[in-house]
Amino acid sequence: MSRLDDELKIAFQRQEPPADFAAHVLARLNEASVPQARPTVWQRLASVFAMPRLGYAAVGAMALLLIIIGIALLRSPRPAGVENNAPQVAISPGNPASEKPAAGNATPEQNASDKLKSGQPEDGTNASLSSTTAGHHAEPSSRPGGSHRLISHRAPVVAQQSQPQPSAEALAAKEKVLFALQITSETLNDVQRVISDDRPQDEKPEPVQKR
Amino acid sequence: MKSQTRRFLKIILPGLLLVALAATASAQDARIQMSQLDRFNDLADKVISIDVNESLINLAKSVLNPKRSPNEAKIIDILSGLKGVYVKRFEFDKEGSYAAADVEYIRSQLSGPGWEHIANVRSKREGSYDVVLMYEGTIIKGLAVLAAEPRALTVVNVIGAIDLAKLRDLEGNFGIPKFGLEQMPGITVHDNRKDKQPQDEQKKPQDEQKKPQ
Amino acid sequence: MVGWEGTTTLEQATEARIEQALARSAAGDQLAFAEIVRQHQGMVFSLAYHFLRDRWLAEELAQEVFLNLHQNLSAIKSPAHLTFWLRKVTAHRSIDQTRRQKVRPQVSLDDVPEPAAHHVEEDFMLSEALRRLVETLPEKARMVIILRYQEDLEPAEISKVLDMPVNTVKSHLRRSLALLRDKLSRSLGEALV
Repeated sequence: MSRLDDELKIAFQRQEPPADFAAHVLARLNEASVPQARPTVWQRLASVFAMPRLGYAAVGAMALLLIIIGIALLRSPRPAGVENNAPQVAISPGNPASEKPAAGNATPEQNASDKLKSGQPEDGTNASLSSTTAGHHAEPSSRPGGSHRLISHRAPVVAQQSQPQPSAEALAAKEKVLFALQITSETLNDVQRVISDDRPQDEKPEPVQKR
Repeated sequence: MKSQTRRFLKIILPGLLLVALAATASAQDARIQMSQLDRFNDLADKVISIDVNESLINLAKSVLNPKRSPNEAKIIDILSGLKGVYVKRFEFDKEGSYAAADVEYIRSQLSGPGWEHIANVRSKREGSYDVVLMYEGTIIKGLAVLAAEPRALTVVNVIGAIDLAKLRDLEGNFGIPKFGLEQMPGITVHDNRKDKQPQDEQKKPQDEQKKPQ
Repeated sequence: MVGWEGTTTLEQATEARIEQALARSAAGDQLAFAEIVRQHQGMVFSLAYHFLRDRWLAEELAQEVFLNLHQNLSAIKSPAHLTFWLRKVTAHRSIDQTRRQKVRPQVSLDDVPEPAAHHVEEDFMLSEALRRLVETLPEKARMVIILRYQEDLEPAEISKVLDMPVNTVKSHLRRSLALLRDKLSRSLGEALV
């Protein structure tokens, strides 16, 4: 490589545009979206079937899994002797902000949470996590029946028995981390929704393929 | 020999300290200061404040099992690059409860060196949203989202190697219900609106008793 | 970047991410599109800037390239195709822009800086001198030089980007480099072999 080649490479090194370049592009995208011809009813119908095969397979597998889990939950009663160490959440329909746990379902974790409500600090975990229902993200509970419902997100019993029991501290850390990630995920998706919703109505194209 | 060792240590130790500081500094570069928003802790109707540092993340990973469910595998994948997740969310009962200055306090940090805007949305109905990333080469090492809505203010700061797509895919897939979180172990309820109610309710019976007399 | 099972190289990981972002963008995900913009903005902006030598114009043109990309996302087959497409569109738009302006900056040898003492400034001045000299080349030859030295493309790749025969590309390179060498050596008093 000659010296001229080297000097030319130095002279024509890539330069970055201003830091908010991407934001400007998005802004222009939303301001001046080109009106596209509205797809016909047939085209919209065809788009439903335009999902890749893998997408169909994944949706089918998810649906099947949910059905199996649902049937399993309905059929199998909780064995009396099995200790339920997993954190459980009581949901009272119509009042997501309710503090009261479901009657008769107090677990060691619930008692710990009650203690924390009274102001006792939690050991081991860093900083406090004060939380309520995220009202912005909560959907109104419209479950029929009006009875308290326990949602358990514990691991299958077989898997739990073969693994050493995780500490309450670790479980609490896990829930905290998941909660944080959930809010992050929701906020990012909110941004995406606002970007999509804020495009001019009359110019808003119908996306042919939806995620 | 001893004097040589001492001399050696005198040279090496400051160097090591500098390297450690630089590493810490580079990890901290993506950290947003949110302490000024703490004044809303008592003013807001609902407050969510989460500080998750690297040790908590590692503790959480220790109880996740990728073989248990695809979701857990995804979460572990995301967590493997993360060093911290910091969230502050304030919900108010009426609009105008926070000032533009509060938003600017955060936004000014997001305009600092290293941060790059990838979304900058201003909506009259929904409020304003800023999404900024900090890169190291092609790897994202920091994310900050500022959502200034009419009745809510949310700041999210994620530090570490992030995959935005995977993060967004997680919504609703945690096995945590989207509401009713206050019964989780280790979580204290902080709802200013509910705290006010008992006092009001207590007053009522007394007033009703007084009236007939 | 460490995956769950084993380790993937940085390039593979980046390419996988871009591929995912492409799919999402085509489905209307604007944040994913913003990631694509972020990954490629340097390349697109630089090509335009080095060609047009006007920062504002280059920024405008680069934005238009990405807006154009957004309309043609469904046609992009892969990350490699994306890079090729961006280079091609940027190059052609830059050339069209110059033709529309009908401005060919004329730099006389007098404007080329005098030889300076050998320190850091000289390197900067040499780079600037080179850029100004390249600016005086005909459009296609200018773009060939920029694609060669900014993007490190081989003549065969340049010919595909510019829709030009390979021999024409090589000819442009040869003549342009000879011209640059000649002009620089006369003005700076040193030979750049």
